[in-house]
Formats: sequence, structure tokens, C-alpha cells
Amino acid sequence: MNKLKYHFQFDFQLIKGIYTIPFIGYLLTLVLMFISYPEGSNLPYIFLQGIAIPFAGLHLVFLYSSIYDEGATDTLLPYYSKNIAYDFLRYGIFHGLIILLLMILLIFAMGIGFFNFIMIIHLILLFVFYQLIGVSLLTLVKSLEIAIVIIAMYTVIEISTVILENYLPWPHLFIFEKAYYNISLFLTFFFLITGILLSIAQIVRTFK
Amino acid sequence: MNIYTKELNKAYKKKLVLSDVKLSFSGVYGLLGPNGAGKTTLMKILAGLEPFQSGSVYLDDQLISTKSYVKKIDTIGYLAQDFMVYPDLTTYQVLEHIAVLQGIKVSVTAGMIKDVLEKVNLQEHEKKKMKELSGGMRRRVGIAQLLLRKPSVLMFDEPTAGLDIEERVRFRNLLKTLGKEHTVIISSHLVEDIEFLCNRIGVIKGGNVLFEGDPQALKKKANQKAYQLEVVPEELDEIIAKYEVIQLDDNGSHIAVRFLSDEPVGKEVTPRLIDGYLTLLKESRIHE
Repeated sequence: MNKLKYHFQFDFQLIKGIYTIPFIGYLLTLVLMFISYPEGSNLPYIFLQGIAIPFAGLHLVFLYSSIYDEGATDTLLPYYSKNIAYDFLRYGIFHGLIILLLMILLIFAMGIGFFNFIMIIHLILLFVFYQLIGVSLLTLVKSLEIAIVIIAMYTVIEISTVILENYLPWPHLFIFEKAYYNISLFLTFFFLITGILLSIAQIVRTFK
Repeated sequence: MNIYTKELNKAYKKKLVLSDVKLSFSGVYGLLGPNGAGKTTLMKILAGLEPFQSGSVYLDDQLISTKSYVKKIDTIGYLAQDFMVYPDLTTYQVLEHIAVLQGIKVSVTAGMIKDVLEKVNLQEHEKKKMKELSGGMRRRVGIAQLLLRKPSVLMFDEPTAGLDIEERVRFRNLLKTLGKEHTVIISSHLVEDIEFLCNRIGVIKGGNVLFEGDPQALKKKANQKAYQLEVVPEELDEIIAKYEVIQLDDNGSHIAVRFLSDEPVGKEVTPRLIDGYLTLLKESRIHE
């Protein structure tokens, strides 16, 4: 427990104000989720996918960007290799619990029927994907700014497709409408699983 | 502890940067070579930070490499040339965190940090932020973080590059002290540092090993090749144009010029390490 407390305290000391960014994302999601929408609207789920879950993956990206500070890589990479599983686990559980809380709040507000089985599986996969993709991209481009911009651009364009009601033909990781068994759902799951596996491969390659 | 490399090869794309490198690192070992010789690449391979194409690496008689990587083991510590971590944290916080990352319990880190800070003479700077430290101090923090894991082999890449003269002297003395308890490998293109510190030397150029042995053997390479002339300042330009001048010593009315020559000119002098090193590089250019 001492070790866990130490690590969270250190992380906060290291990135200071930036540490609060994921919580700002959660707050924004909370506000947007509970604005009044027409009955049957899928927007609360879009905000959970498009804001809360991407923000949940940012802590590790911010923290691991220290590796790519000038003069730090050769020193920190071997040390981080020893701790990466522990870091993913503690932040995965931490943010997983917050996302679960948001889901419970949605169920209270919208009723138990709001989430179906497919949506829950999709949320879990999307959560794992966003936990991994940031660090994976960071190890590829070796720049916090570029990694964040790539994630943000993809996520914003995905959400925009809903707002513009113009579904563009790239690999979609989000579910825009109530989930039904169809080819686009199959493709979404396929792309998510592929993204997760590729991210794991890149992370293992870097930190082995 | 000794490290041995056997037929180590490394290529970037199609360019060979290390070619059949066979070296035996022991004592305080100086790895000399011009810029781009492959010294940093070799150090990074030994530290497990870079892959290689073929060859093997042994620690004493134990194989510590796989097909393409040296296994990351705590026994070997590597300090990069431009060490800098967590610029906004204090020296103490950095060392504490690195200790914890190594699996040391938070409750026992304080004593260990005190010990290593004493060894590198940074006790008074533990509350300073990393970005407030000078280059030499930062490198001493780099050594301190390595000592936390009690390594047997310490590797330093260009340890004195970019340091001012006082820091350079202090840092060299620290390395000398560390050499009493550890196998130390120093990569440098500064012959003076190697001469001051090392009892065994390897010279590489273009990824090839040109020499391995003790400093005396390297000095012998310049036997009957190091000469000295006393000249007046007006003759200096002519001498510089004609010979490979290594050192000038202004005595007021005359200048003592030390240079390398294949033909006897002036007074023959006892070769120094730099004479042997330059002769070796010159010979390698002829064979190219």
C-alpha cells in the first residue's frame, strides 16, 4: 500500500497540473451526459466513448513522456521496463473504476436497458484500447505532443461524424447508434482488437 | 568482473558500424576512437539498450546475450553522455524514485540515498532541482543512481565531454575512485582522460578494433616517431605545415614543438599515449 501511495504521489509531483486533465475530461463527460436529450438518444453513450474513455488513457502517456525528455531515454527505459505492467494495472484499475461509476450513474438516469451486452463489451475493449494506444504511439513517435495530437484528431473526427451525421469510411472504433449485430459492428470489434494487439506488440518491443 | 565480446557485428540498415568486435573489458578500461568509431553503439549494446546482428557477450564466463540483445542485468550500469532525468524534481526525489523503480522499499531508500550522495560528493545538493545542477553535478547524480543498484561494472560514455576544467578534474578523480571497487569502462575521444584513468585500452575506428592492450603497448606504437624541435615563432608556420604537430610549449624566445614524423627530425622524445594513438590512426588510414 505504501508503494502504491508513493507512486501516485510521485506521479502527481512529476506532472503537477497536467495530472488533473483526465479529471477535467470526466467532469465534462458528466455534464454532457446529463443534459436533457430526446428519449432514445445515444448521445450520452457517445460522450462516454468519445470523452471519458480517451481521457482515461492520458495519465500514462503524460507520465511515460519523461522517457523521451532529452538525455533520459537510456536511463529511464530499463527502469520503466521493470514497472510497466504495474503502472498499467494501477491506472487501469483506477480509471476503470471511474468509468464504471459513470456507467452506473447513466443506468440510474436512463434505466437498466440503456446498456446492452454488446455495448458493455465494446466499452471494455475501447477502454483497453485507449489505455494502450497512447503509450504505444508515444514509443513510436517519441513525442508527447505528436502522440496526443494523433489521438485527439482521431477522436474528435469520430465524434464529429456523429454531429455532422456523415459517417466517413475509415475504421470506426466507436458505436454511433444503438448496437445491432451487423457488418459495421463486426468491423468495429475487429479494428479494436487489432489496435489492442498492435499496441501491445509495440509496447513489448520497446520495453522488453 | 570482466566483460568479453566475441565477433560482435552491428549494422544500421546496410552500413556495418561494428565489425567482428572482439574485446575483453577489465580493470579501468578506456575505449578510444574518433567520433563515429562505434564507441557509443558498443556501450549501448553492452548495456542492453541496442540490438546487434551477430556475436556474443560474456560476463566473466557466463553468456549474458541472446541472439540479438545483451540481457538487462543490474550488475551492469551505463551512464549516457547527456544524463538528465526529471528536470523539475530534486536530486533526492530523483534518486528515491529510481530506487523504488528498482524494487527497493520506500522505507529503506533514505539511508541508501545518503550513502550514494556521499560517494559522489553531492550531499549538499540533495534539495536542488535537477535543472539547477551543473553538467558535472548531473553526471554525478547519474553515477549515484547507478550505485543504488550496486553494480559490478560501470560504463561511462564520454564522461567528461562538455565539462569545464574544474568539473572535469573532479569527475575524473571520482571515476578513479570508483575504479578501485568496480570494473569501469570509459568511452572517450579524449586521450588525456584515458591516460589519467585507464590501465587497459581498446581503440576502435570505423567499427573495427585497431588495438587492445595496456597503455605502454599503445605508447610503443610511436617509438622512433615522436620528435621535438625548438623553433623561433617565425618558423612555426612552416613546421605546422610540414609535420603533424601534437603540442606547443612556448618558452618565451623559443617554442618547443612536439610532432610525429616517420623520418628522424630534431630530438627524439619518449612517446606519450596520444603519440601512440595518433600513430595507430595514421597507420589505419594508410591501410584503408
